[in-house]
Amino acid sequence: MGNPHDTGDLGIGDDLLDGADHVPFAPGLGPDLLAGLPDPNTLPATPQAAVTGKDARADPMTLHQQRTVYGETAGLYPQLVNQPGKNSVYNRSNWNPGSAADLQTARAWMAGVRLRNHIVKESGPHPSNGLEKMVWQDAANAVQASKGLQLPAGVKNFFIRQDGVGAQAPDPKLWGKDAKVYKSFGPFINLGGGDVPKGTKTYIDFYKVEP
Amino acid sequence: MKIVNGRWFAALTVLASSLPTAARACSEADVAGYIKQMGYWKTVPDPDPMLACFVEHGAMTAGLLIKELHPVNGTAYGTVDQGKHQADEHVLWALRGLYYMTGQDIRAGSASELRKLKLPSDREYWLLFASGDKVNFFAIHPSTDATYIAPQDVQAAIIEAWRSWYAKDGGAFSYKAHPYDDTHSWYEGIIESPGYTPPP
Repeated sequence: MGNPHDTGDLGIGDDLLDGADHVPFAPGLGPDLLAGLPDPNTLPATPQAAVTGKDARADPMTLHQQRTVYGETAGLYPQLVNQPGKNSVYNRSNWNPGSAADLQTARAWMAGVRLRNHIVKESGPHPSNGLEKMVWQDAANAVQASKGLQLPAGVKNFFIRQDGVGAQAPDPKLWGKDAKVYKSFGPFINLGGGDVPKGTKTYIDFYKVEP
Repeated sequence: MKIVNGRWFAALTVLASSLPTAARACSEADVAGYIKQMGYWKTVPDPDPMLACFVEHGAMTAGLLIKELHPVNGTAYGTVDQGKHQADEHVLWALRGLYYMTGQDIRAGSASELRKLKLPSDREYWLLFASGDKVNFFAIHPSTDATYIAPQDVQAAIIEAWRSWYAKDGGAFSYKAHPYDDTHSWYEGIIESPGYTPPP
C-alpha cells in the first residue's frame, strides 16, 4: 500500500523516535509528565462513570460513538511542529494544525462507521485523569462533526496500522476479499497502549465493501 | 474431440481429473487435507474452497475439527506476531470451521470470574464481547487484527462442551454455510448469542 498522505518533512522523521519506540519530550516534561498516567491496558473495560453530566444525558448512540472514538484512537496524536520550548506531544500548540484536523476528520468518520458497525472497541477515560479527559472531549467533538457526514454506502470498517511495522492490512478473511481501502488518514503519532505498534507513521484506513 | 494420440489423451485425462476444479465435488480426502494445513499456511489462502468442502461433508468434518481442539498456550498476539503462532492458529481455524458450518459458538466461564483475573483491558473486552456474560475461546479486535485467547481452563471447558455437543447432536445436525454478517463473524470469533442484545 502506498503513502497517499505523506506530508513531507515536518522536521519529525524517524529521529523523533531516537531509534526506539518512544516519543522524546522536552527536558523536565518527559518522565514527570508521564508520572501517574495509567497504563491504558490496566484500565477496567468499563469506565467508572461518565465524565460529565452532559455525557450522561447524551443519547445512547452518541455515547457509543464517543466511546468508540476514544477506545480506538485514545493513543493517537497529530504530527508535531516542535516549536522551541513546546515540543511535547501533549501540548496542543505543538500540534501540526493540518494533521490535527486530519485526525479529527478520521475520528468523525469512525463515529459514522459506528452507526453501521458495532464490533468496535469502546472505552472511556478515568474521571480523574486530565489527559484522558482531554482526549475524551476531542472524541465528543469528532462525534459532533460526524453529524454532517455522509459516508459512502459500504464503508463500515476501519483498520489502524503502523506503516512498515506488522500487518499493513487486515487478513482478507476478516471482511472478505472484496473489501478495499476507500480512504486513508495519517500519518499520526501512536504512543501505544493498545494493539497497534507505537510509532510516528500511524494510518487509519477506511474500508469499503461494494453493497 | 479428435484423438490424435491415444496415449496422450489418456495422460491428459488422468491429469485433468486430478486437478481441483469448481465442477469437481470435494472428497473426504480433501477435507482431511485442508484440516492438516489449517493455520500452517505460509501465505494467506482463499478459505472459500475449504469452507465449502467442510459444509459438503458437514458431519464428518465437524467430528474431525473437534478432534483437532486442544488448549493453546497463547494469550494474545498482534499483527507483528503473524505467522509465529501457527500451532495456535490451527486450533483457532478448527473453531472457525465449526462456527462457519454450524452458525453457533460455544462459550464457557463467566464474566465475573474472568474479571477477577484482571486481564489487560483489551483482552477482557473482546473475550466477553459476543455474549456479555460467557467467555469466548478467542476473539479478534477487527480494527487491529489482534487476537485474544481465553484462559486455559475456559478453553478446556469449551472443548469438552463441543465434544458433548457432537456426541449428542453432531451426526444429525443441519450443516450449512454461515458467511460474515453483522452478528456472525466466523473469522473474528464473534458470533453473538441468540437473545443477546448487542449495543445498537
